[in-house]
Amino acid sequence: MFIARKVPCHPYDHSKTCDVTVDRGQVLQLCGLNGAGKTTVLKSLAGYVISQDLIISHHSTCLIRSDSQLLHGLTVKEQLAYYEQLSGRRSHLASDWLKDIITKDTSALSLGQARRLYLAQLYFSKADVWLLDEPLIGLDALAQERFMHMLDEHIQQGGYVVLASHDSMNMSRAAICLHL
Amino acid sequence: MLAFIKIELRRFWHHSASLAGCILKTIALCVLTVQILGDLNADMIWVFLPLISWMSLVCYSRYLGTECALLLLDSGSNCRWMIRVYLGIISVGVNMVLAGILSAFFVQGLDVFVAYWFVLDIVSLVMFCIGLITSAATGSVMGQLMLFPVAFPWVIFGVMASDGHLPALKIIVAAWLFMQALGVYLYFFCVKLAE
Repeated sequence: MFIARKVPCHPYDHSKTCDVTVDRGQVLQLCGLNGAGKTTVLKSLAGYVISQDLIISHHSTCLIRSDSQLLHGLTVKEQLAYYEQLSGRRSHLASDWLKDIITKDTSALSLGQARRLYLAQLYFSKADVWLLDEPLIGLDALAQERFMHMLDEHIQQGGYVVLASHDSMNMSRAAICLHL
Repeated sequence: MLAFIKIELRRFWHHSASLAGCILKTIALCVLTVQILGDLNADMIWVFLPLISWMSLVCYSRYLGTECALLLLDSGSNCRWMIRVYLGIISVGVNMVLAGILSAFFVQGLDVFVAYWFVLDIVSLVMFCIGLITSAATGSVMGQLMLFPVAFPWVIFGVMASDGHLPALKIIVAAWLFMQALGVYLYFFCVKLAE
């Protein structure tokens, strides 16, 4: 079980906190209006917000931000090789998902293509807990379907998912909603 | 490892134009200052050293800038070795080369070469870390203003070391070793603080 207590919902004002509990193979969706603190909760769980009261059970996390973090000057294939170097894990599923843009430069990608490449690092991730901030931004229907399949595989393998999204997630298991 | 080096060489090639531009700007500024002062001797190079560290700062910001740092930290992988490799590449590939050129130009000994190299390493990493913290809150100007208080003591130690003052050289070497050991953690701490 992934447990976090007194998670700050604001980067500086730590008086407003929430508790996060996710069972193995479960998806927790953070719900709330703009500015409710969804991104801050995810960053706190990833260890970016320093708070003395925060208690997190020991798990490895992988944070996917709302803005895609890509390295400039590389092609998609090279970026995938970079993920491989980072995690020490190979994945043919990632290159299969990105085969239509595999030779493209990362700076020449559209919003959705860049998002796909950024999300592809989850195929390489060894982390138990996936922290996803608006993962569906820019994805077309086909890419969304593929991404949902990726999430399903992770939770079926006993992983944890905490995500912030305004979209309804069409997964095999219903997500539990935490209102902020 | 070979694949990693290949990727980094590709990234270096992509950033080479901006790096070349920075080198030219630094040379132009140094030449201009020498023209104004009308003289150039070995001691004066210590005054220019923080300015020369600007070149390393460009490398740091390209290789260890926000996009790369967040990609490494967010992944949850053990990426300390990668940061160490980056720091090593910049230290040997940029700062050591610059120190070599400077000490060869002024026909200096090995001790002065080491002092140039290590001071460049220390000043540029600390400056970069300050830049990371301040960029989020007050903009990069604040980071540039911190150049003087951060660089000043090391310039003094450098002048003393080049005058044959052994304790000053020992302090520089000790600080450099400390930085090599804990620089990665300082970098991670600054990135997290900036977030």
